[in-house]
Amino acid sequence: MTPAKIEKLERLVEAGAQARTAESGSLWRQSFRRLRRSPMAIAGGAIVGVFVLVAVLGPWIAPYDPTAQRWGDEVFLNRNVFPGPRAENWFGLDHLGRDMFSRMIVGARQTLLVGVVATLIGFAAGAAVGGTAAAAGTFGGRWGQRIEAVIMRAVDVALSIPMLLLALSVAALLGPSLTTVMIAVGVAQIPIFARLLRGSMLAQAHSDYVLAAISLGVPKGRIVISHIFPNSLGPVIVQATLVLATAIIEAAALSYLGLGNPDPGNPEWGTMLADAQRFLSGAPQLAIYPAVGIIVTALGFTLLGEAMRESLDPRLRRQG
Amino acid sequence: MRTSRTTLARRAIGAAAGAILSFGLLTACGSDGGSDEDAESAEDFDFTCPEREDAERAPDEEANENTPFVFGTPGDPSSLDPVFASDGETFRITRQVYDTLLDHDCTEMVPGLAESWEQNDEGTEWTFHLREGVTFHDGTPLDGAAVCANFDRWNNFTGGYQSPNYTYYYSKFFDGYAENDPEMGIEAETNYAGCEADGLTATIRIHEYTANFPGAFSMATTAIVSPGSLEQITDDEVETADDPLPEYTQTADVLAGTGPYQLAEWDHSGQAVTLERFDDYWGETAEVKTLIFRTISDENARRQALEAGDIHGYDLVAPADVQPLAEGGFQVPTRGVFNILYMTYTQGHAPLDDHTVREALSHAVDRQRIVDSVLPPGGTVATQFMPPSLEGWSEDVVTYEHDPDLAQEMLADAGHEDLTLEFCYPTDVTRPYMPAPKDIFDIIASDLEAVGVTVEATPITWVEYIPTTRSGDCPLYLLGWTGDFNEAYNFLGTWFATETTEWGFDNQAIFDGLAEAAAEPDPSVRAEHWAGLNELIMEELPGLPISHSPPSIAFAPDVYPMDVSPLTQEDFSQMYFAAE
Amino acid sequence: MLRYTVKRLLQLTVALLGLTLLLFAWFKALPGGPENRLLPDDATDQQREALRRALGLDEPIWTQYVEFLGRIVRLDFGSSLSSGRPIATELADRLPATVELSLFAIVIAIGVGIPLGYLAARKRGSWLDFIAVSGSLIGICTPVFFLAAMLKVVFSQNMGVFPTFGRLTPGTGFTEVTGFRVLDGLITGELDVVGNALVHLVLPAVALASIPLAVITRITRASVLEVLGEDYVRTADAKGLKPQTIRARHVMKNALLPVVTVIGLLLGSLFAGAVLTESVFAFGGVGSFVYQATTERDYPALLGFILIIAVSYVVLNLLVDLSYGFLDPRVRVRS
Repeated sequence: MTPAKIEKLERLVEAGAQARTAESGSLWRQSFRRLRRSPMAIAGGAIVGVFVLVAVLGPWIAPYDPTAQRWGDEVFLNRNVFPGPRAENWFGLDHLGRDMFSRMIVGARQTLLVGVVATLIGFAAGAAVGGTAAAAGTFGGRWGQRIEAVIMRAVDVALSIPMLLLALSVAALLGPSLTTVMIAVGVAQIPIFARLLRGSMLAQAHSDYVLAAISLGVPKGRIVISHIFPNSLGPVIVQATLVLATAIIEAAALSYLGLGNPDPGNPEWGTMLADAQRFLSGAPQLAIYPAVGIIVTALGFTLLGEAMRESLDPRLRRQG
Repeated sequence: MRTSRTTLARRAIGAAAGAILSFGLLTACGSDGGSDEDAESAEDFDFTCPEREDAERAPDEEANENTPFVFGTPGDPSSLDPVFASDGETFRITRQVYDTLLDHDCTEMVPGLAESWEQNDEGTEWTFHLREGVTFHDGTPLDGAAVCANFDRWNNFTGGYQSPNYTYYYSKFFDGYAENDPEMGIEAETNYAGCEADGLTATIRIHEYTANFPGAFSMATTAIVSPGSLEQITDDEVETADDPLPEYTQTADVLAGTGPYQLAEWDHSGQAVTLERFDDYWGETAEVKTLIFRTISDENARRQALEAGDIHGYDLVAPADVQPLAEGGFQVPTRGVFNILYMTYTQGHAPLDDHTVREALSHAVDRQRIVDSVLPPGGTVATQFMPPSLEGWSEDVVTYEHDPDLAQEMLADAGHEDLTLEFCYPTDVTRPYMPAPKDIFDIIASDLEAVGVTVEATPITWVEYIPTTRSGDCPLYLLGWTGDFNEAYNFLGTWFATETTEWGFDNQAIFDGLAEAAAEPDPSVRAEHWAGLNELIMEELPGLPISHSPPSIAFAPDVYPMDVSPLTQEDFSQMYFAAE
Repeated sequence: MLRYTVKRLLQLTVALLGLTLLLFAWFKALPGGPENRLLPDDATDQQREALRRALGLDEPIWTQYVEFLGRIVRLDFGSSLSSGRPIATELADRLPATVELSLFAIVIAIGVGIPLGYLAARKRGSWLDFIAVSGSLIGICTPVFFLAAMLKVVFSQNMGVFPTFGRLTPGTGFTEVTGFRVLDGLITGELDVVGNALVHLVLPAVALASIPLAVITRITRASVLEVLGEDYVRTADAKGLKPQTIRARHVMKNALLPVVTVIGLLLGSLFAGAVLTESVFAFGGVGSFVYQATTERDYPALLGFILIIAVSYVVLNLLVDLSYGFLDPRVRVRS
């Protein structure tokens, strides 16, 4: 486990715990107020908002079917003839005579899907692992603590392996596809979420309301599921926002390594960018559109996530 | 050329051998009365060896002596002993180092180490009269005994060396070994009957004639290596098919040949093989002193390296790069057309066993668009499973024009308006006959969708692609072939000699016809067989032949390139840095 | 401390065993199996069977695992399917290239990142700060392979300033000592080799440095900002110490601690970046090899590589842990 990663995660945990335990959630409200004033958050929020909107509405706002080779007879990729932007095709045509603008719009949805699903996979599996560890450690007695130690040690080992390597191993196993990318990127995030959630839950476990619930005789399982777990989610949501950005970039890298979606039917930015590398000399625009899309979107999620973290983090807050 | 374990498809370029220069083609195309269109297609077809248009240039002595010539290759070679290789990247290098008994000029069989050769009527006894005064790089002279030593060595391979994994081509030509190792799964008796040396003469005997001869004697795998250098080998023979190649095949300091260049260094991590000029070469000595083959696997990266002046030439030029390079002053000679790209209808999958369905699908595909927009200029739509430059190509085969309405109608007649078909294509590869598999797939898929077929795209990595398609798991798939041989058998025999899962059809007339043709020693009689078989095959329609296309090779402006070969057997000793 | 170390070592052994088990399971579960990769296109069933026997694929699974462990201990990962050479040799041959590249990348990242981060923090809110912050954000968000490819298009293909591939111009004579070209050139006095190697390093190292640079800039900035707000800095200021003294003695010294920690741990992202940048520049290092192994599904090579990287990371982390335990007693107690 890298101390830097740990420290970052632990700070987030701490921040979340403080926000939650303070009276009537006023710290949360404060955080949100700060968030609304932060230019980072506004910029990030705007980008993410537009992106999500486009992703959701994509098929309805795209002027043409993104998979139809409608202008197939105008593109000659063996002679480098790629009609550029024009009235009917704002971004020009791709190498098979498909409308690039429509592909970008509809591609946003696939890209978001990859990011969200990968994050959800990482979160769900991470929650299961981290949650089990925390629950076992808190309520499982001596054996529980041992189980916790073993699990967390494994998580630390996993955290120390480069993410791309984890993703690569998974992708090699499953063969190239979009699902592979989602799972591979998701699996690589499991240790992060596991660590975060465990820390977060442990912080909750020692809070007054949990002690009160225990003394009132509420079953332990119920305390974990209906109190500790939901209350630990704050920092996780912040992390998820950041992971989304990483997931989108990692997905593009996996596509570049030939492990991404090789099916050209559905446009997805990472696949489009990886595939367009071969036209970089003759038709760089084919790569630049999806590249800009990926960079701006990842930037949006990162800005939003960082802003959220800063507004939650008491230490950063102190600097005013 | 096959794809071996050591060969990534994208590196493999077809090597070929053969004997017959085809003239049949021009007559075939001109027979309709010579309208403009016919003349044009005839020109397309006579693409085997176009006349060179560039003037000969004077060599730049200073540069040739002092500047290493760097050639960008798509992949690393696999072995410096050519008998263990089956890929074009290895052959490109070993052909500069070792000579074969027979050689090619364009596609014509010409003398190599053998000044002349003869065969008996049955085609079972081949006598080679060797050149005088040929010396190996280690200083020993070439004689008949040296030739026999090589053939005997191959025949006496044991253990893992017998695995087609190592000696694919040898076992393809000679079936088996002196003593077959049961572990290696080879059952056929060897077809090699012995070799007698007498001074500068070597006579090689085989038990039964097959159409593989005399082509086999020009294959890079049967190049003659100095027997003295073979004795330097200290490695043990490999025992299993899994062992790596012996160490000596991976270093440049063991083997010696007779070629214009000798091995100098193989830098594995730097992915470069260096050759040095051999000054006592029996033919014309090379101009360039140092020749380096450097692997740059990405095709765009090879182009960038050439444009930046980091390399002086490269192979497997993407079709889209040909024109920009030429406009930039680079030289991009185009090879003759010697390949086929096809789409298989695997008949193990209903309703592809229905002839009407296959016919309908064939009418649905706009092959001309693929040729016009994806393949390199100079390509043509294929009408049958071998290129027109081969003897035995038939002008009378059934053709299937692009006609979506007809296709839709036929599908309806056959009761398959809403057909769903799985369609496989390879993902991480380009081949000389298939520059952009995904794009070709995309175009065909959209054509099929246009006539109401639902296409399920199944992309498969190249390594798994061949086994998957061979097992018959893909109803539709793209594949192709670059000739090993200027001999129709090398194309048709590869696919249609017997019932296979990859094609899934059982047509005894085709199988019997092929067997009969392959055993016929007379080339002109054989050609008639092939023509008839091509017609039979296109009636059966086991798949849709898509195209024949010419691969290109690129050179820097200050280079005088060698003659390019439709068989991809370029002779690098012909090429040099030219003075302005 | 001894008890702590023993405990950690035990945990390490368990972790490593678990890792090999996972890798073994991974290797067995790979699609297609090695036999398809090894057989020719037109292999018969007998050949298939013979090969399975030759590879020991017909033995019981635990025998195969023990055999697998034995091979790992002997550093025998088999041969690469694509080159036919032993994987240990392949990796050993290529390691110096990647290490050299990574070192240059980290030098660039530190050399630019720390001053930039420091200045950005000192001039918080200025245009410099804005550029540093937004630049580092964009750096993190740009796919490395795309950045590398664009650098190559602009600086090699169009401007012709830097070479497009490799570590040296092919055919350059040099004497191999350590495998690090720049160092070798300095040792043997072949200064042309040094220059040649440096020119070849620029673009890949810049591309590879993009993410560490962004991270170091951000961390330096944040850390300097935090230190500037600490009581002891304000105290020093109030005491009337010279600003230079405060900066050197208090701010930089304290702010650099987290930065130094991070630098040691950027190896992971450097490695990931190396796979992508080396493939763009055909650099011939471990990264190129992994890229090739990935696209060619050369599983034995991937396996050996993942194992070596994973083991070295686990061991490295143990060392970091131990040194932390040594430096900071609180860690020992907590664990």
